[in-house]
Amino acid sequence: MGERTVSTSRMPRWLQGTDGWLLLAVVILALWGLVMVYSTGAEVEVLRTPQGAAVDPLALFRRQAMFVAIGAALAVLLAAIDYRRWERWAPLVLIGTWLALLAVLVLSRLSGGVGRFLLGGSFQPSEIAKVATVFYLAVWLARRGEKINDREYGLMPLGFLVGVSGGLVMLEPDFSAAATIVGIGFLMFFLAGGSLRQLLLVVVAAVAGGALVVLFYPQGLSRWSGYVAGLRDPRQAAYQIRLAMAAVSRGGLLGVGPGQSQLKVSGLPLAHTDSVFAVVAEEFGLVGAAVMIFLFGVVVWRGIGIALRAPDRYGRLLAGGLALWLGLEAFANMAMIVNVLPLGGNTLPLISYGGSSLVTTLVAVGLLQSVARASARAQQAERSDTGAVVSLRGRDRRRRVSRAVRSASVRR
Amino acid sequence: MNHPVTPSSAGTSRRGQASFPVWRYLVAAGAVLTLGAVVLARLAMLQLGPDRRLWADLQPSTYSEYVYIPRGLIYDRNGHLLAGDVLGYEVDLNLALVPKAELSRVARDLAAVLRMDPAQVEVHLQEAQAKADAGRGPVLIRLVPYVSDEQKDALEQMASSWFYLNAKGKRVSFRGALQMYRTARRAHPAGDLAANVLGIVSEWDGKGHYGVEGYYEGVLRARRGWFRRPFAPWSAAGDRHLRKSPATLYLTIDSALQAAAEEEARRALENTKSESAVIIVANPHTGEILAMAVAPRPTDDDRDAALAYKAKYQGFNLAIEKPYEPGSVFKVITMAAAIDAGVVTPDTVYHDTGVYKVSGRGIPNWDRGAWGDQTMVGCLGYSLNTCLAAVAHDKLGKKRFYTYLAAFGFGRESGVDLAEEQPGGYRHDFGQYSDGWTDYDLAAQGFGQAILVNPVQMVAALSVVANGGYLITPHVLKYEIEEGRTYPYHPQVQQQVISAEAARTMRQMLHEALPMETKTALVPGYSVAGKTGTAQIAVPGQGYSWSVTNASFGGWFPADDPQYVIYIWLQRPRTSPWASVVAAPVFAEMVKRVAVLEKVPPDDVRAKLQPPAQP
Repeated sequence: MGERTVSTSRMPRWLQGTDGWLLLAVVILALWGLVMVYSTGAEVEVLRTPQGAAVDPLALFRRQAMFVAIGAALAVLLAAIDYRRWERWAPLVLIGTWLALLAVLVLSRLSGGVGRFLLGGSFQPSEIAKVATVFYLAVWLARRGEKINDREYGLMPLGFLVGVSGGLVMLEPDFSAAATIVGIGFLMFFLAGGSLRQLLLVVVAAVAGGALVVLFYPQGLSRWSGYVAGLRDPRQAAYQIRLAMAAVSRGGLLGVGPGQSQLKVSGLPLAHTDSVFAVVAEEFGLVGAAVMIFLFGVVVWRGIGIALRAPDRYGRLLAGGLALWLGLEAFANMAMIVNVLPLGGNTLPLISYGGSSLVTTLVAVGLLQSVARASARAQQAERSDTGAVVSLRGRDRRRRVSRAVRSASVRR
Repeated sequence: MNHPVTPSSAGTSRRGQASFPVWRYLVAAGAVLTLGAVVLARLAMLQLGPDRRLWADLQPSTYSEYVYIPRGLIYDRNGHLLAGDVLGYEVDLNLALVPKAELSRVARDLAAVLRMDPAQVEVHLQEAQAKADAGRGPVLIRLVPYVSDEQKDALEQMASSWFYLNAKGKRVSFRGALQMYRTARRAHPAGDLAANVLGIVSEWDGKGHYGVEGYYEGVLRARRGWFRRPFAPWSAAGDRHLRKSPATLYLTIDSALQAAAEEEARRALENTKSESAVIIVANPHTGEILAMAVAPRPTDDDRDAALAYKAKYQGFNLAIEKPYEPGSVFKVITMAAAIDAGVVTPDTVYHDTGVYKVSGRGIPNWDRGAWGDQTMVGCLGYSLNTCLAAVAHDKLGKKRFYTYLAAFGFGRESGVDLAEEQPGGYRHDFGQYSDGWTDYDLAAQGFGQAILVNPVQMVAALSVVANGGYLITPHVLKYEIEEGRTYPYHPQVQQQVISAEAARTMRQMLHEALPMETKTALVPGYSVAGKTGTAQIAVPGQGYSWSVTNASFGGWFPADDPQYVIYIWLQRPRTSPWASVVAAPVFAEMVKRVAVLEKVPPDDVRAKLQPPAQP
C-alpha cells in the first residue's frame, strides 16, 4: 500500500478527505438492501398480518427506508465531526451500552421471555454494543500504548471489558452477537500489537469457551451437529441452511431476477433478515453475489487504507476495528448461509432488514469517513508546514499565486 | 516486524508515536477477505457446480388453508342458469369455550342477531352442552348451516363484546367460541322451474339429493375443508390438487319447453281434478329429455318441504319414482313385439266375442262390448283388451313376450341420469317374481295391467317404435364441463329391440288407429301418432275399480318423421276416468306448444321443404 495523496483538488470543500470508493460501495449496498427488503418484506407482512386485516406489503420497506435516512444523516454528521472529539466520551458510551443491555435483560426477565429489543421492539442494544466495543477498545488500547503486552495492564482488563459486554449479550441470549464482540476484542488486541503468545492464549480460551457453549447452550449442539452434517452432505444441513442453499443453487449464474425468489415464500426462514443473502444469490445469481462480496471487500480494503493513513493510534485502531468488524459480520453471515460456518444469528450489514443494525453500520461508516477526513487534513497541514506544495486553486487558504500558464490551457 | 519502508508508517513514527505494525492490519484484512473468497468459491460450487442438482426433490413447506369451492352450476340446454350457489357462512359454536354461566347470554345474543327464538336457542344449547358433558355429543356444534355475509358481520360484531370474568377476576374474551366457515346455499334463478329434475341440495349435509343434484353429486359437490398448501403463491402445480373445480352441467332440458310442459301439467291437474300430472317430452333418436314436468311441483330447495312432498306423493319426481300400471298405452309394446315376431300383420283379423277367457277368468273390453271381427289396426284403434290379451297369450306366448318386455327395458331401471329411479316390475313365469304367476298375468300384461312401469321407461319404449327399433338410454345431461374441458353425453344405444320394418309398420298402424276413437289427440296441421291408456287402479279391499284410474297418453309427432315423443300421465282424474277424455287433449296441447317453441313446420310446409320420408 503506497502513499496516496488525498485529492484535495477534485472535491468540493465540504467533502474534502472523504473516501469516495467507500462512499460509493456503501451507497450501492444500502440501496441494494432497500431492494432486498422490498423483495422479501411483503411475504413477512402477509404472514404476520392477522387473517382478514388489510396487508400493507410496503410496511417493512418504508421502515427500512426511514432507517436508511436516519443512518445516513448520522453518518454525515459523524463524518463531519472529528472523531477525536469523541475520545473523552468513551467511558460514558461503554457504560451506557452496558446499561441498555442490562435493561433488556431485566425487562425481558420481567415479561418472562427471551428479549433482544428495547423501546417496543425498535431498538436492539446488542447491535449498538458491537460498534461501542470497537470505539471503546480503540480509545482504551491507544492509551495503553506499548503496555498492552503487560498482562495486568493489557489482556486482563481487556478480557474484563469484552467479557462484560459479551456476557450481557450472551445472557439475552444472543450467542452470535456475543461471539462477534469477542472476535472484535481479539482483532483489536491483535491490531494494537498484542504479543502472539497472548493472542494464542486468547484463541485457546475462545475455542474452549465455544466448545462449552456448543455443549451447554440451548440449540448449541444441534446447530453444531447440523453444521457438521451439512459439511458431509449439504442435504443433511439444518432446515434453514438447507433451504438457503437450495435458494442459492436455484439462482445459478445470473439469478432468477429481482423479486422472483421462490424460496423466500416457500419456507426459507428469516428471508428478510438473517437469510437475505440466500435471496440475493437466488435473485441475482453468482454474478450478483460476487458483486456484493466485492463491495464488502471494497469496504474492508478502503477501511484498512483509512486506518493505515490515520493520523494517530486511536484513529488507526478505530478505523481498522470498524472495517474488520463490517467485513467479518458480512462474510460470516454469508458463510453461514452456504454452510461454511455453523449457523448463527447475525445479520448482513446494510442488506438485512433491521433498523438497529442498519443505523449502527452507517454510524461505523461515518466514523471511518471522519478518520479519513482527519488524516487528509493532517496531511495537508504537514504540507503547509514544509511549504513545499502550493495549491494553485487557493484551497489551502493561502494567498493566491499567479498561474504559471494561461488559464485557458488549464481549462482544456 | 515493523514495515520500515511504508511511507505512512514512517510518517507516524516521525510524529513520535509507537511503532506501527502495518503487517497486522494487512494480515487481519487478508484473513477477513479470505473468508469472503471462500464464500465465493462455495457459491460457485452451489450455483454452477455439481451441488446445483442436490435440491431437485426439495419439497416446499406448506400451510393449512380453509378452502371452499362452490358447487357446480347447472344450466339448461340453451345456457340458462337453473342452479347456482350464493355464498355465505356456516356458524359453529365451540361449547368448551363457553362458560356454563354465560350460556343463556350467548343464546340471547345469538338469537337476537339470527332472529330466532331466544328460549329455543337456549334449550338447544343446553341440550347440546349436556350431551357434550356426558361425552355423547360433539363439543363443536353447528348452530346455523347458513347465514348471509351481512349476518356474519353482525355476529362477529356482537361476539366481539363477549367477555366473562374468570376465577381470578380477569376479563376473558370467548369470542373464539364462535367459528364461521365459508359455505353456500343453492339458489335457482328460474325459481321452481324443473325443480323435480334438479333435485335439492341439503343445507345440513351440503349434499345433493334426488334428480340431477343427487345423481351427479360426485362431480358437482362443493370442495370444502382444510387443505395443506405449499408456500408458493404463483405455483400452479401446488394448486391443482385442490383447485380441481366442480363440474358445470348443461342439461338437455329446454327451459321454455319445460315451462310450457309445467304450465300444461298444472292446467291438466286443475281441469281434470287429478291427483298428479306428469308430462315428458323427449327426442326419440337421442334419448334427450327436453322437458319433464310434474304437477304439483316440489318447492324450491327446502329439505323439510321436499320430504313432506315425497311423503305425500310417494316420490320426489313422479316421472321416475312412482311406477304404475300404464294400461292400454302398453298395447303399443305388445303389438310392436307381435309385428316384429311376425305372428301378426296389421291386417290379421281377430274375432272379438267381448270376453277373453284365461286361467278360468274372463277379460272384458273397456266398454264390456263385443266388437266382432277387427284387424290389428282396429284392435289398437278401439283399444280392445281381449284382442291384445290374445296376441300376448296366444300369438306371442310367454317366452317371446317376456323376452320382448326385457328388450324394451321393462323391469329394470331405464338408466336415466336422475337419482332414485324406481324401475317397477312384473310377474313372469320364471325366476324372481314368479310366485303366483298364472297365464292370466301374461294376458293382462298384454294390455298393460299387472305390470308396473315408470313414465321414463314408457318414453324409452315408445321411442323404440318412433326411432326405428333401438332402445336408447333416456338422459337429461347434454354435456359436462370440467377443468375447462367439455365432455358431451354420447347417446347410448342399448340394443335393437325390433326391426326397422316392424317399427315403421307399427308407426303407420298407430297413425291410422288414433283417429278411430281418440280424435281429441289430433292437432290441425300436424300428423300425430299415439295411444291412450286408461288403467284401473287396484283399491285395497275392492280390487280394480273403473272409477279410479291412471289416464295416460303416449305418442309422437310428426307421425311420418317422429322428432318428439310426448308422454302424459294423469293420476286419478276425477272429471272423467277415460284417457281419451282427460289425457289425449293434454297431448294435443303439448304438441301445439312444442311445434311453436321448437318451430316445427306444419306437415304441408314440411312436405315442401323436404322429400317426404316413409312413415
